[in-house]
Amino acid sequence: MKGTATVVFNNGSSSTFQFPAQKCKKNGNKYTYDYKDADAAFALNNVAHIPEFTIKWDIKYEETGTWSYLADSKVPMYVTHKEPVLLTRPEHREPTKVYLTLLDIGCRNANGSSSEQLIVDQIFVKFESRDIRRVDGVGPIKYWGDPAVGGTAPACWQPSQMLKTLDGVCGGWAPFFENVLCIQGITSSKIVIPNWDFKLTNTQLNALMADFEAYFGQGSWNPAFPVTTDDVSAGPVAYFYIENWALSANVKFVVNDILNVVNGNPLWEPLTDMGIIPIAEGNGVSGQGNSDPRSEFSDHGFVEYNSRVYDPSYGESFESRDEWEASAVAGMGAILSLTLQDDSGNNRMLFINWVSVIEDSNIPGELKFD
Amino acid sequence: MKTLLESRLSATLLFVFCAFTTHAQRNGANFDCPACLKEVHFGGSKGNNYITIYDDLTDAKILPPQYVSDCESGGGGVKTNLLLMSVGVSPK
Repeated sequence: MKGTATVVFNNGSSSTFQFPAQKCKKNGNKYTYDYKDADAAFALNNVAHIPEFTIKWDIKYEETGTWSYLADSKVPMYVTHKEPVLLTRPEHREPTKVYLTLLDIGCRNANGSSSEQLIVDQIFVKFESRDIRRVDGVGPIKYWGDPAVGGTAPACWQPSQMLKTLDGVCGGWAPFFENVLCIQGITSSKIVIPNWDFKLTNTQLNALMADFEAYFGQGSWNPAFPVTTDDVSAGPVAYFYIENWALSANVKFVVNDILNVVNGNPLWEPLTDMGIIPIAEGNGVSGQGNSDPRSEFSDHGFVEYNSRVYDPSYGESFESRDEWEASAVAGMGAILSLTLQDDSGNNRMLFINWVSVIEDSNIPGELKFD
Repeated sequence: MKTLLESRLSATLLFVFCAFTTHAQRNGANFDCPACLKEVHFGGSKGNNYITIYDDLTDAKILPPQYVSDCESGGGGVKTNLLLMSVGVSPK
């Protein structure tokens, strides 16, 4: 018994693999062709996705001494750039594991490429579609698909769980993209975390209170900072706002899109400005599977490779950190809660944004990058 | 007693059946295939460098046929890229 497999690659080249003739074993209706070296190999470092690696089998019966076609055997095949690196990378919450979808995204999109930069760019094209699905077609996996639980659910930070829950935050999407690269043996990327220093300084806090009194009137209101799950031990959290927002220098407080709380119960409903505070948060920059994801954060996570920014959460890439900041960030400030009584007598708690700084694309580095 | 022609037809049917059931095997179904590709790998010796793949939903290892890694030559005494394969091994 002997076999022949011919593979045509994306670049038009082809390779033929010969499985040499050897006696096969027959056990009832089962024929076995044992381990045997073929006479060729795939090109070194060349990524390949072969939906059907087809081996044409021929058989020669001792009675006749002539070869004749037997059948084809077919199997899907993935060839990675290098040996996968399966470690827990920095800012990951689990080791990289070769899930079929992660392998498929890498090999399918970088099919035919051997240059590492080209492989990274071709894989990211898939993320730019903002339509990342499992191999079984289920999806898309969303970015902040459920804003009520996204930041607190551990599953949203782990690619292994994102494949199951179909939801992830930036702390999940950045490792998700890096895992696809690690499976291709590419490990020179890193996760970068932009932030506005996480916590307001005393100077910033004083500025906030001064703005508050100027806006609402001295002693009229008693704002509070909302409970946050972010990793800040104490004190008001410093936030930044991801586009799209309609901010202006003379409006220091706007309504954001977290949620309303009515009589102590979280309530998802169209935001109200109560006739006092403008709603400045518009439909956001589209994220993975979500045209209007959450847009205020104490930090973010994107992937940097070869000094270029790849932001898998939003499916966009940038020449530099400064270009990312100028394009993605609307401003910086803090989030407060403000309780008002509406016309029906309900105590309605609004989350409002203090706008301390409006992002100026001419001033690079207004955010920190850890 | 089967004639030679009948034997050939029987074998052909078995191999075609295998091609259609490859996906069932990938998903871990109990499957006894007469000609499934169990292992293909490059640049190393038999059995030491194919990649274990995990199912997205169950985390279970996806049973053979496995997928391949293109190992770098020169780094581990590897002189040539080899293609190894086996047929007729039932998944365990």
